[in-house]
Amino acid sequence: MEAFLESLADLVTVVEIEPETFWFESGPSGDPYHADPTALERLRSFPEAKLVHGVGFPVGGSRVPDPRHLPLMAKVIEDLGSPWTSEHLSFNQAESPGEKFHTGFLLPPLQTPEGAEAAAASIREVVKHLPVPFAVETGVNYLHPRDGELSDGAFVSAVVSGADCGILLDLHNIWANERNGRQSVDAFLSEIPLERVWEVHLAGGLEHQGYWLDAHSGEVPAPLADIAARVLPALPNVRALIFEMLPTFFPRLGIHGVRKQVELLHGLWALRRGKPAEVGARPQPIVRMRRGHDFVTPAAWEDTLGALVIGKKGEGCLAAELAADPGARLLQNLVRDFRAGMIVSTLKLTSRLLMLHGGKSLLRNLLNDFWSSTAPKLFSSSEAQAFADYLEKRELEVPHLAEVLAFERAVIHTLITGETRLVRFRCDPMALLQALGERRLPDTLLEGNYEVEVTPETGVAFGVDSRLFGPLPS
Amino acid sequence: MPAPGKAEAFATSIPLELTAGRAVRVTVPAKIAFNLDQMQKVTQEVLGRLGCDKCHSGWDIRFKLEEDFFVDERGNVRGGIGGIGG
Repeated sequence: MEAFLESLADLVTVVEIEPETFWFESGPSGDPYHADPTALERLRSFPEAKLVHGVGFPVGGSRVPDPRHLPLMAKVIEDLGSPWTSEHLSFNQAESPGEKFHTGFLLPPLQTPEGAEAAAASIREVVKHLPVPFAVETGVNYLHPRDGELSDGAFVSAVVSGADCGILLDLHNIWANERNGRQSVDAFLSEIPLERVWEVHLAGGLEHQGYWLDAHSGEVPAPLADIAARVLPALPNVRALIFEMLPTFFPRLGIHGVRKQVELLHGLWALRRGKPAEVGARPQPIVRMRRGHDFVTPAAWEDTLGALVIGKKGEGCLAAELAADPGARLLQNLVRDFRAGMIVSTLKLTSRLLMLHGGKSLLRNLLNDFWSSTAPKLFSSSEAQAFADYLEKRELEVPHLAEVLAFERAVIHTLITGETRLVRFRCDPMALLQALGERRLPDTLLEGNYEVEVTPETGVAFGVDSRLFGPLPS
Repeated sequence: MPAPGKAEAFATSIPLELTAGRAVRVTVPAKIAFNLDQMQKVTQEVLGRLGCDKCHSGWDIRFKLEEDFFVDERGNVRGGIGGIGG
């Protein structure tokens, strides 16, 4: 990240920061959430302007996001000097009898007047605790349009009017919706209050299972760039234009490719007319619809769709309707891929050991079994710890699994708490870990009593003088 | 204007400590331990792997990447992201 920013220092003037990516769910202070102070300090040192964009506590549902995150969010916003902040018009929490659960994915809210009012109420509650103005991001929706629902644009309009907030216009999301059979971009834009748009997102996507995905996977498609060129001059209050791309895809574009994208943004930005007006806009009336016989509450929608995408079977008309939507099946797959991605990123060596020992099918089968009994976690560290708990209970006969798993648990624990952990090995740990790091099973390992001390200190890289290894004489 | 990302200078060895004459102790900074596959090319990306990382509604390819990187019988690592999106 820093390397890219440094090489693009002549072009990049604003950086959008997703703070929850460097948050943990628990830590030494006992607070429910805490931010890695080192990461925060590094971000603060960036010379570019910063915008704080939430990704973990969307505001589109009927349940107000966990209010315990708001003090930390407010602190991050103030520390980074973000002039406004934003979150998604989506939901990620639901309930089944006896338990609340995370959906593992940002999901589309119920697009009815009741859904719009529920989202607006959530936003109004969140905004009370934030030190800067708030904008809501227009989301992607892979589901078919439903009979009787508000159009995408009318829904967004109703929400922002009811909440009196700004709009983060994610044009790639809106374009993806059009490509996937929902409202056209032009129709959407004709229905939202353009003067409320403070920020625009552009990104690339990809085709997957018959859908165009908001994957942040590369270049802004040319047709989308053309749309942006038409739209930006019509946004009197737009203050920022952001290009989104996942680090996973940096190697694909390379620094030259990223530079071209930022240059594209500069060209688009230059198309705006005149000076921006003050942030804030007149309220819009909420669209009213007549309640039909198949009335669904926002909470019922969230619980039904949420259960479906994490693999639970639902009952009733709505569950049957959603289950028949190919978009819901896509969401199920995307949730599973997200969860698997969290596991292989946080328990990388454990995952490799399992695959090297039992093939890809072993890890896939274990994950499927784990997912059948455990709902997604919001934070990767929690998902990893839950999977580690599951593996320990399984007591698999995989050589060195217990040691590698204990090592990776220790790493996670140390990163979150700052506490040193000691892990015992009955073989040369570095030979074992290095082999897995190189995606291979180790050769013959020296046996002995070894301890690996996982420490929180930075500033030391990993290099091994093999002459110092080997069991000590007893 | 400070250049971001220059704060951490990395040494090239890890401290080894013998404990009580019975075991070899290896000290591994936790932020480094996530990068055993890169060994000398340590990055600071680890924090984003532990937090909440759902900024998009796309396909998380990390699992596919990990699956596709497999070592063949000759010990060669193969794989990559070339097939994504096709």
